[in-house]
Amino acid sequence: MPIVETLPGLLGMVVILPALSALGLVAVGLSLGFLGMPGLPESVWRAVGLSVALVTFALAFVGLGLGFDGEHLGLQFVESVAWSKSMGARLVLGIDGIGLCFVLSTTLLVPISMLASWSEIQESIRSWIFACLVLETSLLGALCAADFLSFVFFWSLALLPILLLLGRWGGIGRARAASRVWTTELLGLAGLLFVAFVVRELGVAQFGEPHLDLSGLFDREARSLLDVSIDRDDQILLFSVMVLSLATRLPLVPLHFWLPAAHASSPTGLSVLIATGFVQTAAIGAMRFALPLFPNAAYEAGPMLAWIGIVALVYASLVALVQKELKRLIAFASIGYAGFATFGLATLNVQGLTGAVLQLLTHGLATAGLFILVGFLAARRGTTEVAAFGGLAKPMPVCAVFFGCMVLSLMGLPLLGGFVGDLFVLIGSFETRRELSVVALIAMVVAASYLFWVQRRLFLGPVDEPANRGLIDLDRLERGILLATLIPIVWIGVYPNPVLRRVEPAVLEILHQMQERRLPDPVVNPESVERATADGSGSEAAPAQSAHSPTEPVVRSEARG
Amino acid sequence: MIEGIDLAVLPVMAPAVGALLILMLDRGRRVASEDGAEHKADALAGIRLGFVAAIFLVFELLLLRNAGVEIETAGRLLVVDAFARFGLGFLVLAGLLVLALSLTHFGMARSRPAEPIALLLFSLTGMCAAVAGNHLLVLLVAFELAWLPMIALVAIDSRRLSSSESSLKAFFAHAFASLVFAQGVAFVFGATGQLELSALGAASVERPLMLQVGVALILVGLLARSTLAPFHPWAPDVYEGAPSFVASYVATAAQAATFLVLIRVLHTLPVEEGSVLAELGSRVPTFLGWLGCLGLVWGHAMALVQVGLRRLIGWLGVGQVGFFALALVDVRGSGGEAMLLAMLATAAGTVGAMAILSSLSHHGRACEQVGDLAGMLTRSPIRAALLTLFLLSLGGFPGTFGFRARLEVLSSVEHGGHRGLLVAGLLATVFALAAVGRPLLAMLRPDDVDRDTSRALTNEQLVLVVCGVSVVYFGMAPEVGAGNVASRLVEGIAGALASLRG
Repeated sequence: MPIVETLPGLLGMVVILPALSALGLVAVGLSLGFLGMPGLPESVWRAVGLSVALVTFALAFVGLGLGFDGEHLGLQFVESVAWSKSMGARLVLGIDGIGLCFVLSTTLLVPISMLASWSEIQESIRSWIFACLVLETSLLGALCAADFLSFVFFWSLALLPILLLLGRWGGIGRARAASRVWTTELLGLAGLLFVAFVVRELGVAQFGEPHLDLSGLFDREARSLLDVSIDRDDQILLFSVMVLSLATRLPLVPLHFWLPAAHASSPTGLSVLIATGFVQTAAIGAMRFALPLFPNAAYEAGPMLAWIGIVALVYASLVALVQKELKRLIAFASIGYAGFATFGLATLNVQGLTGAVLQLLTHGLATAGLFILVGFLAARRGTTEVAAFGGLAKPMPVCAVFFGCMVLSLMGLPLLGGFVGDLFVLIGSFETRRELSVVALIAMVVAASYLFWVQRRLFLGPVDEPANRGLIDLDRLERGILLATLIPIVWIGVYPNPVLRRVEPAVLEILHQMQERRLPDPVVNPESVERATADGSGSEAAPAQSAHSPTEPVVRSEARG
Repeated sequence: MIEGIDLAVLPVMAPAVGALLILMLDRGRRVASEDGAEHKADALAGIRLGFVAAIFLVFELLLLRNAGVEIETAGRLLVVDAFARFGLGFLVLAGLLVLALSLTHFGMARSRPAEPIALLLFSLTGMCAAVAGNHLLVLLVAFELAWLPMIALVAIDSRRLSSSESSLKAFFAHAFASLVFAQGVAFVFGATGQLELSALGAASVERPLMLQVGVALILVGLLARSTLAPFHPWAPDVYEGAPSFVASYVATAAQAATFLVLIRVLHTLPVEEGSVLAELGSRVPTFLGWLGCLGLVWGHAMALVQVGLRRLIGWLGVGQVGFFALALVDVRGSGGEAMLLAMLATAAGTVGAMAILSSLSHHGRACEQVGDLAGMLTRSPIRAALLTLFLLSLGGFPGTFGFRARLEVLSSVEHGGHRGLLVAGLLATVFALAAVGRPLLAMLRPDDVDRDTSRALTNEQLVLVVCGVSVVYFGMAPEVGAGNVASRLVEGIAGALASLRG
C-alpha cells in the first residue's frame, strides 16, 4: 500500500476534518464580527457540527471500512509528514484492523453524542460544538498515530476539550471532577513523555538519530522505533511506566478514581465519548506501542496484569452493587470491564488480544448506550438516583427494551456483541492461565448480578413513584439514536466474522513483533532449574512461555499466505 | 572583522540614543494630574514617543541584519558575533513587545510619558551591552545600566505600595549580585591580570585557587540576577507589584541577558585536561543542572498554591528559569540550543499572559486573582482561548512552543545521561500544568458578579497576535527543509552557538 507523504490523504482527512471544520467555523465567525456583522447563529454551528461529524463517519465507513484490506498485515492508509528534524519526530498516521474498529466506533458515536445532548445543551452551543469536534480529532489522531510523539500529542490534546466540556457543561461537582481528570491525566502524560525521551535517546545511541515512528509496520526496509534495541532492565522500567500511564486513562484499578466523578458530572455526550474513544486510546497505546516495544517485560508482567484485571472486575462489580446513582453505577461497570479487557490483553495470545479488542468495542458501545438512556431518563425525571425509578417498563416499554439489550450485551449474552468478546478472552485465558479463567468466570457472574439488579430495580415491579407514572416513552429521534448504537452490538454478536477478519491480522502482527523483538532468556544455571523444579516454583513460567512462542509465528505466516 | 571602526557600539547604543532623544522631546511637559483631559494628552504623547522608540529599535534590528560576520570595538570590549547578534535581536524584539504593552500604562499612572520609555530604552542598552560584552568590567557596568532603570520601572506605578515594595526587593537582589560579581572580577584579575572574557581560558595563572573562586563568584553574581531558585525571592513580588509591561520585561529581557552572558562565560571555561579551570568547566554545568532542577520543581510546586494570577505567572517564571539552567547541564552540546529555544518560548508565553491580564484590568477593574477569571469563557472567549494557550505553553503542554522547548531541554538532559534530572523535569511539568489547570477551570466557571467587559486595546491586540502566533506556530509548525521560519530559527540558534564554540 503506497505511503502518502503529505497530509491529508483519506485517513488524514478523517482525522483532521472535525478540528479543521471547527477552526473554520471560528474563522468565519471572527470574519463576520470583523465586518461588523453578527456572528454565525448557534443553529448554524449545531447543523454544521453535526453534518461534519456525520460526514466524518461516512468517510471512515466508506473510505476506510470498505477500502481496508483484511489480508494485509501491518498498517494501512499510512500518511507521514516530517515535524521536527531535530527531535526526529514525524506526524505518522496509519491504521490496522484494531484501529479501524475503534475509529469506526468513535466516528459513529460523535454524531450520536451530539444528538443525545441536543436538548441537554442549551448554553454556549458554539463552544460545545467546537469542543466536540476537537475532541473527535484528538481521539481519532491517537487511535491512528503511528509515531510515539504523535500519539502523545493527540493523547494530550484530548484533555483540553474534555476539560472544557466537563468544566462548562458538567453538573454538580464538575470542578472537582475536572480537576481530578486533569491531574490524573497529567501524570499519565508525564509517564508517556518519560518513555518517549528514553526510547528516543536509545535510538540516538544506536543509530545516531532518533526513531519514534512505526515505519517498519508498513515499510519493511525502513528503520523505525521497532528496530531500537532495549535491554531487559530498561524494558521493565519503561513498560511499568507506560502501563501506569495508560492505566490512568483505561482506567485500571487503583487509578480509576477520576472516572466515577467524571461520569457523574458529565453531560451525556461527554460520558459517551469518555466510555468509548477516550478509553480506547489507552488500549491502542498498549497494543501498538507497549507490547511490541517491551515484549520481555510484557511476558514477565502478564500474570500480574491478569490478576490486576480480575481484581478490578471483582472490585468494580462489588462497588457498583452499592451505588445509588445511575451514572456512577455505569462508570463502575466500565471500570470493571476495563479490568476484564486488561485480563484479555495480559494473556498475550491471539484469542485473548482479539477478545480484549472486541470487548472494548462492544462494551464501549453498550456502556455508551446506557449513558444515553440515563441521559434520557434524567431529562424526564430530573434525577439519576436509582431510588427515584421503578417499574418503568410500563410507561416506557421501548426504553426498557433498549436498556435490557445493553445490559444483556454487557453481561455477555449470546447473539449480542459482548458475548463474542468475553468468549474470546476466556478461551485465550483458558489456554494460558486456567485457574485465572475460572476466577474470571466467577467475577463475571458477580458483574452480571448488579446488572440484573439495576435492570430489575429500574424497569420491573410496580410503579411506586407517582412521578414515574406519566413518563413518556422514547421519541423517534431517541429511538433512532439508540438503534444506531445497538445495531453494531447485535451485528458483532450475530456475525462477528467481518470484524474478526480485520482484528486478527493486526493481533498476529503485534504478537509477531513481540516474538521478533523478544530478547533470549538469560542463561540459567541447570542446578537452579533442577532445584526450582524440585520445589515446584518453576512450574508456572514454563508453560506460559511455551504457549506463545511456537504457535504464533506459524499462524502469522499462514495469514501472510 | 573590521579593524579600527567601533561598529559594535552602534547596535548596542542605539536604544540609549533613542532614550536621550525622547527625553529631549518630552522636555517641558508637566507631570500628569488626575484630570481626564490631561490623561488623554499624556496617553497620546506616550504613543508618539513610543513610536520614536520603536523606530530606534527597528533601526537597531536593521543594523544587526546588515552587520558583518563579527564586529568588535577597540580593545575588544564589545564583540558582536553571531551569538551576540542573536541575543541583541531577541532583546530588541522583546523590547518592542514590551514597548507596545507599555502604551496601556500612559495616562494611568502619575509619571511623565517619556519616563517609562526612556527608562526602558536605557535598561535595554545595558542588556545589549552585557550580551555583547567581552570584558568583565563592561559586564559589571552594563548590568548596572540595565538594572537601575529596570528597578525604577518596577516602582513606576507610584499609586501601588506593592510596586515600590517589589522595587526595593529587586534593588537588594541587584546590589547583592553586583557585589558578588565585582568581587569575582577582582579575584579573577588578581589571579590572571586579565579581564577580557575570551582570553580568560588561556590566561597564565599564578594563583589557581583565587581564579577558581573568582570565576565561581562571577557565576553566582550572574545567577543572582536571574529568578533561579534559591536567588528568586524578589521575583514573584516583582511580577505582582510591577505593571504588566515591566513584569514582561523582567521575565524576558532581564532573564535572557543573564543567561546569554552565562552561556558566554561557560564557553570561555576550558575543558581540556591540565587547565586550571578545566575542573570548574566540567563541574559547573552539572551543578547548574541540579540548581535548575531545584528551581523548576520549587517554582512549579509553589505555582500550585498561588491565588494571585501574577504571582502564579511569577512562580511559573521561576520554574521556567529552572529549565534554562537545566539545559545548561549539556551547554556544549544540544543544551545550549535547547536553552535558547526555551528562552524564546518563555518570552512568548509570559508576555502574552501579561498582555491578557493587562487587557482585563482597564478602567480600575482588577484581574488579580484566579477567581477573577470566572465567566471569562462567556465574556471574552478569544482572550480566554489565548490565555489558555499562553498558560499551557508556560506549563509545557504538547502542541505549544513551550512543549517544544521542554522537549529539547529534556532531550538534552537525557542525552547527557542525567535520568534523575529528566524525571524531575517531567515531575515539574506535571506541577506546572496542574497549576495552570486552576485558572483554566476558573475561566469555565460561571461568574457570580456581573462584570463589565472592555475590549483589549489595539497595542494589546498586537502583542497578543504576535505571541499567540508564535506559541502556535513554533509549537506545531513542521520543521522541514530550510524554507520555513521554524527551520530558520533552529538554524539561527545553532549558528549563534557555533560562533561561541569557534
